[in-house]
Amino acid sequence: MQTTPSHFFARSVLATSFALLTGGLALGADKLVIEAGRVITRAGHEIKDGVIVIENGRITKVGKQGEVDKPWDATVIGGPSFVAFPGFVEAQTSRGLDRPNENIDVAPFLDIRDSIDPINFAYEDYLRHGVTTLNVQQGGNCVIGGRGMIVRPVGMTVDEMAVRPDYALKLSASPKTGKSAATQSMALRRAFDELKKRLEKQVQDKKDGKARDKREAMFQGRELEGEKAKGRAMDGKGWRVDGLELVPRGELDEKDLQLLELVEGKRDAFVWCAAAMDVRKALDLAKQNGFLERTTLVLAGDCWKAADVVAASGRPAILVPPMLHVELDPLTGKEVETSVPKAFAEKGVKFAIASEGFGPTTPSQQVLWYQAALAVGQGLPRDKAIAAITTVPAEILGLADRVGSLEAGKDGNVLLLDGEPLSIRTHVEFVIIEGKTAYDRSKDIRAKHLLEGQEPRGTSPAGVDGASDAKPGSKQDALKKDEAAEKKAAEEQRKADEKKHYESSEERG
Amino acid sequence: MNDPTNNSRAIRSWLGHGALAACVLSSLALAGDKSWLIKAHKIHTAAGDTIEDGFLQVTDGRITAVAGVSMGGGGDMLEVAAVTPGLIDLSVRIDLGFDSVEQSTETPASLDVENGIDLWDPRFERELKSGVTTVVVSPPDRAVIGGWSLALKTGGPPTLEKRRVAPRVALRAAIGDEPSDGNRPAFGQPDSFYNRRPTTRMGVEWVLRKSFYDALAARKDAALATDETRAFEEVLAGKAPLFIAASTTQDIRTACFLQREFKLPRLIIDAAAEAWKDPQMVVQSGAAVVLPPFSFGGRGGVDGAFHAWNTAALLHERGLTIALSGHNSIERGDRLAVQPGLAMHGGLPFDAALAAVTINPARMAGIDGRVGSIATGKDADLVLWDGRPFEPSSRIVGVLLDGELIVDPRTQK
Amino acid sequence: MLLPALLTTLIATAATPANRAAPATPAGPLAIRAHKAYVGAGPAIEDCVVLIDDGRIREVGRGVRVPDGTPLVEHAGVLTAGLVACGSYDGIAGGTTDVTRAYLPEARLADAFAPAHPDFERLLTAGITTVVLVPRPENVIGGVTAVVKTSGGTIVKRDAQLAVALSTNALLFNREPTSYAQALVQLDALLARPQGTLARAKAGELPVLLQVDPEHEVARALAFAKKHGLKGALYGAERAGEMAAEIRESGLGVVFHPLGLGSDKRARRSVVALSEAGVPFAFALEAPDHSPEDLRLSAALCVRAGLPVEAGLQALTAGAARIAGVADKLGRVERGLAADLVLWSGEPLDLASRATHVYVDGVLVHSAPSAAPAKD
Repeated sequence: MQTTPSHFFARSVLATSFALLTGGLALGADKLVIEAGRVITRAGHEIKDGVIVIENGRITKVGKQGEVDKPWDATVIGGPSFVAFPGFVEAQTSRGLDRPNENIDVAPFLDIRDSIDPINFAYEDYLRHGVTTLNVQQGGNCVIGGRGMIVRPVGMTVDEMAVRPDYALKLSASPKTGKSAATQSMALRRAFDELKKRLEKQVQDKKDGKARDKREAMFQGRELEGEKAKGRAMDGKGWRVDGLELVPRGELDEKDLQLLELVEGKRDAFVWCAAAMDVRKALDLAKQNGFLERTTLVLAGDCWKAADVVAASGRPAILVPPMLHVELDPLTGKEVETSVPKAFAEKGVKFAIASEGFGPTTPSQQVLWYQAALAVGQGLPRDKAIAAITTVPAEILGLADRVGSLEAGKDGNVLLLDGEPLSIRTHVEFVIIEGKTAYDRSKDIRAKHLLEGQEPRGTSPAGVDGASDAKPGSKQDALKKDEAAEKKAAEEQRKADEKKHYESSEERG
Repeated sequence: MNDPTNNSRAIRSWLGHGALAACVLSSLALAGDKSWLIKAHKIHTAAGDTIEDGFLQVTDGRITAVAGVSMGGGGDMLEVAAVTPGLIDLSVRIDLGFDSVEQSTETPASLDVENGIDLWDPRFERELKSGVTTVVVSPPDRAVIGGWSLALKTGGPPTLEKRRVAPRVALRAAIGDEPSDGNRPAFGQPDSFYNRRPTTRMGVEWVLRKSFYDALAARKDAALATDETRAFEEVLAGKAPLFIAASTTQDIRTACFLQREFKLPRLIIDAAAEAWKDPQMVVQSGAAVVLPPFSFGGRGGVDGAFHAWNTAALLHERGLTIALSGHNSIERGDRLAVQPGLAMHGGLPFDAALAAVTINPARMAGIDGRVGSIATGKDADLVLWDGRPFEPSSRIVGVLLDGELIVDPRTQK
Repeated sequence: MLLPALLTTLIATAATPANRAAPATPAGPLAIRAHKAYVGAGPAIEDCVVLIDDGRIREVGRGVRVPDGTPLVEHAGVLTAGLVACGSYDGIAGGTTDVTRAYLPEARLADAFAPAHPDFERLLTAGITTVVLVPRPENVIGGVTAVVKTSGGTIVKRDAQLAVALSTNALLFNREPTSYAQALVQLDALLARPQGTLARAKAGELPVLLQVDPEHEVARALAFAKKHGLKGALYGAERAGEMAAEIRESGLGVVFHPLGLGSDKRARRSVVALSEAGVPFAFALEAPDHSPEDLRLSAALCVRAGLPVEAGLQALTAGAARIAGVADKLGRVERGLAADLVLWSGEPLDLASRATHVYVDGVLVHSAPSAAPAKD
């Protein structure tokens, strides 16, 4: 017998949509079997009538119905009408933050975890549209921004959301507000020069027998025991400061640690380029300072003109909307349109597609799969578009062994769709994150607001609330009942309003 | 069909290889140059049926035959997955900004926007290449009644005579914030052009009502007639629709009140994002609605209106005539060609979504005799698709405008 | 045989640059023999002699006999008619615009002409002897243009053209009309019962100068002129060459904005295309916004883009005079016309050349500080 997760929720008190979205992780079973008419394990690989077994949050088996042993005590979800698909991966975003841009030019010591707002609608939207893993970074309006964090869009606290805290640094090769391209580059150079000078001074002080750094560290209560008591020679492929092994790592200024890790090649970097002219600067900066091999370029549409440069660097890229670059030809006065993902694909660049746009946000720049679908409509092969929102971002984030495809051993992040992936008529019906149902469209109150045109329960003026308690039974039945009640309430409301209209118009007439 | 000489001739002239050849041939065989035979897996006619594996004949700028089997005859063959009529956007918003609307009065109702548009504007070509072949241009909403909108083609020779489908298709009015934006009362001496009424929504509504009362008065006393009252009379008599921009519930309500008070026979509500909140009221007014571009979150409408995904589906269920619009977005994901898809995401059936960008807007503007569906005798404005129409992942591989191949499917890879 | 340029002391001293408004001495007879002369239509004439008396040209040609006693100026360079700038704001007292009203059909630029204005000194050094004073396009009807000389205070034509700006510049946000549509409605109304200058324009007696820029403004102006049967020229119309067929059909000429070095190729090609279509055209100068040399530069840049040299010179002289409606008085080196002449050190459209001597109505009004370099 099939059981939909609504059983589990039926009696739980879900007063707000938020509890619905987050409650899944707390209440789900340890073992989950997902059945689907089609299981798309990764771009181009599909199992008809497939089964996915998830145990303790990990996928243990993927295979054909009948060929896979299903644990007898597992919850079963899905059915032949569903398409199972890996959860989408957002390679880079600044959504869900209270404010995305810090005004301190060079601030690698900041941590995005302090800005993440777990109840921001953005995470709800991500879930609704099938994103199960996302890399939250500071916005591109910076010189060197704070540390990002990889999260799943569920959880009431940042810790619950965390997949990988203390992640990459965000840098911008393009001018921050108030800077020119020249002063931006100057600020970037200076940040690394100053780091070098400070490290050299600490080495010199140590040689001179000065103990000021140690005193400062003790005063701040920093850890100076164990590993922290040891010095270590500087790593990295960029520049080095000789004699750094003389300085115990615990005595280094905490504000310098992240940038030092970057230079030592021990931390990922996402470098924002708003225009093609910035790409080479970004790559040069990364090379000179030893973090080229940890660099991912975040590219706006104009950067298609530098596709060759990106290809030659061998570094992966993240393309942000709009996917279509439009420019006025000054000689003919006509608009020239270029498909950005196609341009990069033709040069062999490995890229992910992101959903957060550059420039004024337009109505559609919100949804990851929609951007991938647009890329297909502009000539990008479908498999590449799917990879650009699943396996490629997983690789970029260093999570290739955990997310991006449906394989034994990976995280149990699965979407159940009601149709062909990337089709406009398809909806995400269920989102499973690490084996637990994180989203069920039939319970998505705000989507109802959008889809059924009704105010969320509890906010509607008329008595719509009475119909809120879904009874066990098929999803369809429950929906029908809801609809009927809502329509009735709406009708009553309409009549009341109409009466008011007539009254008021009489007064006026 | 498939006559090799005809083929090569047309290709030569289209690609412009050899100016001389093209020159000679154009005088010899104009008809041959403009003949096309289009074979499609699906022809969505928007006239009530979909023809599977059908053929379309285009000659001299018109559709000359639609059939389930090949009908022979001349013309180059184009083979595609699907064909729809050229799309129609009633709310395209390609104008010259403030130069396209008179602001020295709140009701410059007798003015024609056609005297204030730029046919060389590259945004027309943007629309054309994205499948929109006919648009209605209205004065910007800086006046309460901005004047007459016109319907025109998005391509062809840049003259009004050649591009105009119909003048004066609707009288444009606006409620909302915009018509009173910037207006302020004078303290002491008037110091600005904007020291004028109205300064509120109720003031805007009053200007509208006064205009119609003036027109009614002019019916009784010809001496009161002015160019403006004559424009309102056209609307009162149902010769032209009132095309009113109203996004929020209160503004839509105002539009419906106006309809009721003056018994306006034809009302079109533009940018009617919040029509879903009280669809019955709109149904009773008999108004047709034009919906602004959809957004996944519902937000981002004019005047901060909330535009629910299923607005189109809901209004369609109630029997309203709806049209969709793209507001001339530069972003492909917001253009008209994907709006029917987004409406389908919200539950609108395919046929209704197709109608909402073709025959419905054509009827609203009264230009369905020429455009809006695939039927013999209509203008050969066609969109050729490589997959299911209106999917963001489908491509527009061909566009024909008056039989002329603007985007050639044979050169699209 | 080429002789070094000679100037009699007498004539050289007559060029006292301080006193443009009223030249003291009436012009006596004078002869100039130039190595080469562009006289107007037709090819250049070598060793051309020009006889001048009483401010007019009496005789032109190779081998013309110089009467005994007539002072002769020998010039090793090139002679042309004085240049005509078809639109300028220079030398206008009290500015050129009155933005309080949109329609000023009875305003006359001739009344704002300040002959002693120091601006004119600069124009003369660039060989410009005649300018058409035009209003800036900030009124829908800006007034009646005037053709004036840059020296001597002569008003050649008091009512040259009626300036009509169907331009976004004339649609101010706080003055009616604010839209093209209303401007057209009001113009139509004014022309339905025309009075004064409007009546003369409608009757074809007074040409119009339609100030327009982008293509759509040009199209609107063409339709407007056709509707009311107006004659005259477009002013501005940077892309006019791309609409050459329609403009030719309209019978209107075109006055282009001056083309600076920053102008784009498309604008220059547009001039060439218009010329090839046989539409009369000229250039405005729009001083003091532009430097006087920009007039010559405009034609030179178009020559660089493919315009024949003769056509470029025409646009600065005879063609411009024709559009300004003064072709019967000046613009060519021809018997009976005003003796407005420029002696150039080399080819006039070679930017390295300069105007060494400028005559207005037969009077030397400018000579370069040092005489033209001698040639062997």
